[in-house]
Amino acid sequence: MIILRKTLGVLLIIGVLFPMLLFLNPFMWGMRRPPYYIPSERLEKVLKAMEKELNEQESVEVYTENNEANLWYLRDCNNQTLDSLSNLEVTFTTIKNDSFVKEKIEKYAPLIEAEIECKCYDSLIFVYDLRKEEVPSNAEQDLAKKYGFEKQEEEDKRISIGLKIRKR
Amino acid sequence: MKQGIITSYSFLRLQSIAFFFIIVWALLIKNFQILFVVWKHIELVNKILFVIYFFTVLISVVVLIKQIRSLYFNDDDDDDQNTLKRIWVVFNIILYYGALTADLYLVSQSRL
Repeated sequence: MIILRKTLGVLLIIGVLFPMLLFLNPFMWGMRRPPYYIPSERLEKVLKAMEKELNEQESVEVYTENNEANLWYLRDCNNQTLDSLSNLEVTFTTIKNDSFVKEKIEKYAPLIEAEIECKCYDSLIFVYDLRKEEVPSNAEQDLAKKYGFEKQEEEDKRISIGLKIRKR
Repeated sequence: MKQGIITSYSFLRLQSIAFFFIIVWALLIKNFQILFVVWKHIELVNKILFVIYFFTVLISVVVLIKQIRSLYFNDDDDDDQNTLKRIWVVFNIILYYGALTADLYLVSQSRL
């Protein structure tokens, strides 16, 4: 009985000391994930619906990671301690033909505005890279062959469409 | 004498209350996030409390180990009082885990 009690005592001491390996470990503190932007559930639904409609034309992903972490940003906004307002950025993956994008943006921008705190964001910005795949003409191909030129790949063009949303 | 104080009923009670307070405070902050908007000094208060709770937890480690040594490693016969105190120490260890979690949660709510 005494041996059992002492064994239990040893286990309890280990149980008390073990969390200190994590609690006092500076590496564990350094590994904390910094705050990041988390869209609300309703905003997430709107973005998913937008992504679904965009995917009818091209394979596009919609994400909002390039935004300031909203845990403290919204608190500071409501406490009126911000020096300036940020923009909310909605980013698409690379698009080859953007003829349909503007129409979707016009459709979904009001829906996105309704789901965010408009008084805390200055503008809603949609950003995507446009990659146009041009087929070179025969004349261009012949010229390239004749002089040994290689067609230089064009860089993607970054397009930003901004809409002012802050309510006065 | 010192061992007697830390294994007394009043000290065990005080220890439980202290751990409960830390846990309840963290639950309050978690469930009433609006506090950060209603009272803008809550962030500063949380930072101060985090430091106090941090040292409370560190001191608790020493106190708990002394209590375990005093209650589990003595060769006294088991009597009801010591048995009750042993169970109470185990209960306080569970609360200590809760206080650790609460302290870590408080630091996540601070811009440290």
